This record gives sequence, structure tokens and C-alpha cells, in this order.
Amino acid sequence: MNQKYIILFFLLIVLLNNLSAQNTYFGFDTGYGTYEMTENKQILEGSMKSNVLKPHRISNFPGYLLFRPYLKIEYQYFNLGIAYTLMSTGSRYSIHDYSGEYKFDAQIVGHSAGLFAEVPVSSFKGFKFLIAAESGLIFNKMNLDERLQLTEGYNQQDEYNLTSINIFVKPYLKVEYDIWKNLSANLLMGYHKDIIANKMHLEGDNLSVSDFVADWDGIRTSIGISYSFE
Amino acid sequence: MNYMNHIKLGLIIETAFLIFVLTFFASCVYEPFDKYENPVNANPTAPGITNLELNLNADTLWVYGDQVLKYHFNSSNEKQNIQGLKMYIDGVIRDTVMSDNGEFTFLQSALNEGIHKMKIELYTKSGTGSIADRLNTESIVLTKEWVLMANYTKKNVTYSIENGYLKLHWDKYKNLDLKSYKIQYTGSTQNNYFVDTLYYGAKRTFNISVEKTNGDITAWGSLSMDENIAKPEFKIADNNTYYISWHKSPYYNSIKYRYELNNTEDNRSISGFKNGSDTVYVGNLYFSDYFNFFLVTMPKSTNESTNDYLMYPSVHMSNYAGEPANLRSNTSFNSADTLSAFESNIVYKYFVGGETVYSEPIMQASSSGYAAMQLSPRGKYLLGSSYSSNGNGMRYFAKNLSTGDIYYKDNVDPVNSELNYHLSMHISDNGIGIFESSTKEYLFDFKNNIEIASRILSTPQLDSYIFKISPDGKHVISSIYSGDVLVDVFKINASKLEKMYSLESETTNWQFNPTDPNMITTIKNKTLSVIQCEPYVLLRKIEFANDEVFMNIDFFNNEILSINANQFIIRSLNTGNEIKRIAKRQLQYYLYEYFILHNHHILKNNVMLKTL
Repeated sequence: MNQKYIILFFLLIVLLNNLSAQNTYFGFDTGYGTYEMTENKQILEGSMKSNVLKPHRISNFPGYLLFRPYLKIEYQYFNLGIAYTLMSTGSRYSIHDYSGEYKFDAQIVGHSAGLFAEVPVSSFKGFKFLIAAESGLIFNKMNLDERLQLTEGYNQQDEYNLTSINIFVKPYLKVEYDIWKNLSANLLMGYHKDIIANKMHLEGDNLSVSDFVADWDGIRTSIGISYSFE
Repeated sequence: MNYMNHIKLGLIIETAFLIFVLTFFASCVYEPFDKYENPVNANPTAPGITNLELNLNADTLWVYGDQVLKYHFNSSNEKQNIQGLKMYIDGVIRDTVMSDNGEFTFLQSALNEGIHKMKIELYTKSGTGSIADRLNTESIVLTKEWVLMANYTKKNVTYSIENGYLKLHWDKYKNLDLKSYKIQYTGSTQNNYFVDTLYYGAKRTFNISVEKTNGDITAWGSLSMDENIAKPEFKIADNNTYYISWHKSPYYNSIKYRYELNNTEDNRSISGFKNGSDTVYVGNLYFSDYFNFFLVTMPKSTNESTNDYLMYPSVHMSNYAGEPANLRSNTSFNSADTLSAFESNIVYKYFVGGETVYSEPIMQASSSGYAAMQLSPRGKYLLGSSYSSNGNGMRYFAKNLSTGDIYYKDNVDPVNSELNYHLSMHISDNGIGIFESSTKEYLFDFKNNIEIASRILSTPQLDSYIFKISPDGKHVISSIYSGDVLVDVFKINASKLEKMYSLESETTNWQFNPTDPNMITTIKNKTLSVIQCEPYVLLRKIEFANDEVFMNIDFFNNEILSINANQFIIRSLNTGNEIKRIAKRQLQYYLYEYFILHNHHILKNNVMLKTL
């Protein structure tokens, strides 16, 4: 499966280079994304309610930093590119006292690989305004880590890894500013929507399907810089 | 230069960018952090413990056999629930339970009779609210000890009578979980005694069981009561009235009676109820009445308007009213105090109550039949007929009951092969018999084997001739007519009979006095004539009233018995004076029955009535 994606990726690069390309850019964006994770919140909340230790919720899939390196080719009327985005969030339920500690951590990481297209719509004193959209795959991995430790020496840890793949679209608006000859800064704002979000299954065991779903829907804001290889 | 600077600047920027990317990527994944500090109660106190089944206030537990101990502990603090317990007996752990309730079975085979120690360790949650407390790994241990008294002796159940009620008592159940004692069929109580107001004296086993507060029922003891039901007895009062009585029931306050008297003499049935203290029923009973009496003992609460009494025991008696007598068949009243009788081949002398004073086979070696036997007036001789020893026809015999000697008169009727049970015969107290065959009448001295006289009958006799011989064998009275007849009185003179005179008398009511051989009595027209036989003298006449009927004469006590519609009348034979009148059942004349006066008793239907 991964081989197919890699081959497709290189074929796309070759195809784009054969067009009448003007410039090629490498860029890196970082920013903040919010993540719905609705099912996961409900599942964990329900599970913890029945937990005899009654742990308290410390975090509940908050919005968090995202990182997005990308490669872009600029054409006459539009830009095309590929991007990798790292998204992550998680939750913790915890209780601690003199007799021991209990915590239940859920950490979920999404590695997305997408194609994007940007169309400049206006420019003004070095600023360029673009409308764009990105779509691709997200390779999700969620780690569930439950630990109980009593001061009398009792320890127990259970850890599970779940995976799944989503398909997403992300329309966004972008403003670029050329701060140097080959270097430009940008500001991006958009909305991420998972159009297909599969239930997660145990890593290496596709048949053991859970009710957890990696739901990355949410606002995306980021700033970044790009470098032109002229 | 510019180019080199440009390259350097690009490398710097790329290096910085790479460091930036690596730094971010190394720590860019979200990691949950922080923790929740749980507030705990660091100094919890022990909860109060209550037990819903096992009484914690008792220091002693009694074990009476194989017994289930149920427990259900409860903590006063809901945060300090009971997690489990351990049970020890005599220091040895016997049970471990991870619950606040359960059962423990004491086995008699595993716990010797005597004193033991039981300890229960209770584990409750600490109540601190800590993680360990929530995981039930932090506990408060509470201990409770009891003395175990294993007592396997059989439980006593006794009874007493209190104020006319049955009161049951039993050994006390000493544990505090007693709900009630249950008495089978009867009721329940929390005391170790019970007054049974419904017990009426039936044979019954009272099974006592203990019901505990947890619903368990354990057999405790039992008591079997013998039947104590009133049994009616026929009684005679001093004034010759009759009543029925029974012993007073010890349970007189819890019972009542239903009586029913059926008197066959008047076909009346009388019934009713009596209270438990009553012991007497006086009914409309007269001498020789045959009656049935039923007495039902039942609880006092029994409905009298229904037939509910039928489910309770009824004691029944059937009796003739009077003192019991035991008259044998073929009885002759030929003694002042004893009676004579013969049955089958045995001759008896006995008292009127049935006590035998003499019994002997009529003939030792003979099993052949006898017929038409007759005892002499004083019972000294027995006259009878039997088959001849040679098997030819019938012969007469006379047995001296004093000596046992037997005398025969053979060939009386050699042609007749069957015994005639209708022949008339009499024998005197000195062994002179008068008897008949089908063709001939004989006067025969058995002792001396002399035929004194005989005569040939004109026609074969199927019915008896009516004749009697005086007790001393000196005179004979003979009649051949029924109804009012003339009877001829003969004197036995050597070998012939000499007729002396004739008398008028009603059928069979003429007779010699067995105590005075020279006295004859006759009855004619309500007049009894007492006659000296030889020479003829009419000694006296005794007149009966028109409604009086002559019954008999007790020559041994010189008393005459007659009756009217409602009285027995006893007169002196010597004077004719009335001695006594005794009330009897009133009957119409045509229903009069025959009574016998003997030795100051009136006899009828194997009962007797004292006349003194």
C-alpha cells in the first residue's frame, strides 16, 4: 500500500515538472489546529465514569500545534504542491494520592499526505492573496496507556496502539509576503474536514476494530515561510 | 563574493531551518501532562457495625445440632462498607467470605458438645477515599468474639393441666434470633409454654419447632399425648334409676360434649350438648331397656348448628339397663343362690353374674347328642335322653350331679332312631323321673332301676305331655290340655299312681315348691292358690289386681313377682302381702315381657335389678 502511494507521489512530481513551471518552493508552516475527536471523547468519558477509581479528566483532546512542510511548484496561474502535516492531540484521566497513582493517557497522532492547489486572486504591495484547497490521506495512530501504581509496590500497565486511515479535504485562504528574494512568509487559515474517517483497529490486527475514530475536523491556522529554488 | 555570501546565507538559513524543524518535530507531538491530586481523609474512624441476622449484642451462641448460622453485617458508614470476613472457631479459621453476608453451617459431627470460642474478623473499607480504598486494598479490621455453647441433648417437652386447659412446656431456645415457637396443628408463641385451648384429649403428638428471625425453622422437641376421651359408663343409682357418666376430662375448659341416646324400647332419640365440666347424663332409662349412647368430645368452639362434631371421636356404648348378669341357656333356678344349666354336653352350676362354681361333662366318653334334658328342682339330678349304647334307638339317663353316677333307662324307644327334642320330662331330687316316648309315658326310679308305672298313650305324641313330679318324688301332676285346664294330682304309691284330686289352673302355671315338696301353687283368674299337696289343703289365696300379670315365684325366698303397666310388684308367698313396688318402663298390656324373680333380683336380657 505504501509503495503505491510513493510511486504515485513521484509520478506526480515528474508530471508537474514537465509543465511550464516557473519556480519550485519548499515551505514549512506551523500553527494551531482544533480537533473534534467527538467519539473518542464520549468513549473515554463513558469508560472513566465506570472506573472505580473515579479519575478526573485533565485534558480532553485540546487543540494543538501542527507542522506542515511542503513542496510547491508555481505555474503561471496557479500553484500545485504536496504537503505533509503532523497533527496531534490527546487526553488524560488521572488521580493521585498517598496510596498510589492512576492515569489513563490517550495520545493520537495524524500524519497526513496531501496534494494542494492554490490560485492567486489578488496582489498588493508585495502581498499575494490565494485561495487554496488540499486533500489527501491521514495515517492515524493512537496510543492508549493505562497505568496503576500503588505505594505498596503494586504496578500495572496496559498499553494499546490503534491505527486507521482517513481521507480529508482542507479549503483555506493564504496570504504570502515576499520578505526576501527567495524567501517569503505566509499566513494560512482554513478548515479541515475528514470526509472519510474509519474506525481504528489494533495495530497489526485489522480485525480488532474499536469504536475510536480519529476525527481531525477543525480550524487550521498557521504561519510559515517558503524558500524558492530558482 | 556576493555569490558566496548568498550561499553561506542559504546554508545558515537552511541549517537554522533544519534545527527548527528537528526541534519542533522532536517535541511537536502532544503529550498529556499534569495530574489530579485526590483529597483523602487521612484519619478515618471505625464504623459502627450492626447485624441483621446474627445478634451482636449476645455474647453466647447456642448450637443445638446441625445448624445454619446466617449473618448479614451492616456498616453505619456507607463509605466504609463491609468487604468480607473470616470466621474462626477455637482459633482455627473455618470460613472466608468476600461479602457482608452469608451462611455458616455448624455440623454436629464437627463440633463437640461443650464450650467453644467463635471469632469473626470483619474487613471494612477504610473510608479514606484513597485509590487503595477504592480498590479495596485498604481496610479496617473489626473483631467480635462469641462463646459457642454446643448442646445436643434432646429437648424436653412436658405438659401440665392448668385451669382445665392443656399447658405445654419445653426447654427454652437460648439464642436471641427466636421469632417464635411453632406448635404443630395448634399455634405459635414466643414463650416456652403454650396453653392449648383447643386440645380436647385426642391422641396426638405435639411437635415443637423454632422459627428464627431469618425464617429458618428447626425441629425442637415433641410430646405424644395419650388419648383421654370421655368413655361413658352405665351407672345405677341407689334408687334404681339409671344414668350414664364419664370421668371428668382434665381439659374440661376447652371441650364440650355432644350426647345422643337412642332407646330401642321407645324408639326415641335424644341428643344435645353438654359443657366440659359435666360428667353425667340422666336419660329416660328403665330396667332392661336396650339403648345406644354416643358421646362425642370436641373443642368448645365447635359449631353446634352444623355437623362439625362428626369429625371428632365418638365413644359408643350399647347396653341393657340394669346390673350385668350372665345367664346361660337352659338355666334352672333351682337354688337360693346358684343357677344350674346345661349346654352341649356340659352341666354347670354358676352364680347369676356368670361365675362358674361347677362344670362337668354330662357323660365322659360320649360325644353323641343329648336331647330334652331337665334338672331336678334342687339341681341334684339331670335327666336327659341320648342314643342307646348299642346304637339302637333312644334311651333316657339320669345323672346324680353330686356323685357323678349315671343311671339309664334303656330301650325306651328302640325303633326310633332320632332324638326327640319335644318330649316332656321331669325328675325329682331323689332320682325318680317322669318322661315319655312317642308311644308311652314312664315313671321310673333311676337310682333303683325300677319302672314305677307306665301307660300307653292313645296316639303318638309329637307335643309334650304336661306333667311334673314333686321334688321328693312322691307326687305327680299331669295335664294333657292346653289353656285353662284341670290338672290331676297323683300320689306315687309303690308301683302305681293313685290319683288324689284335680285342680284348676292356667297352663304351666302350676308347680311344686322345690323347697317344700308338699306344696303346690296354681294360678287361676288373677288368683294364686297355695295348696298343701297331701292331704289337700288350700293354704291361702293371693289376689292380683286386674292390670297385674303373674311372672314367677322365687320359692327359695318365698317371693312372688308380678307386673303391671309401669311397676314391678313383689309379694310375700307366705302372706300374700305386698313387699315392694319398683318402677318400670310403661308398656301396654300386650307388650308385657317376661321377668324372673330370683334371689332378690329381677332378671331379664342378661341384666338384673336388685329388689332389696
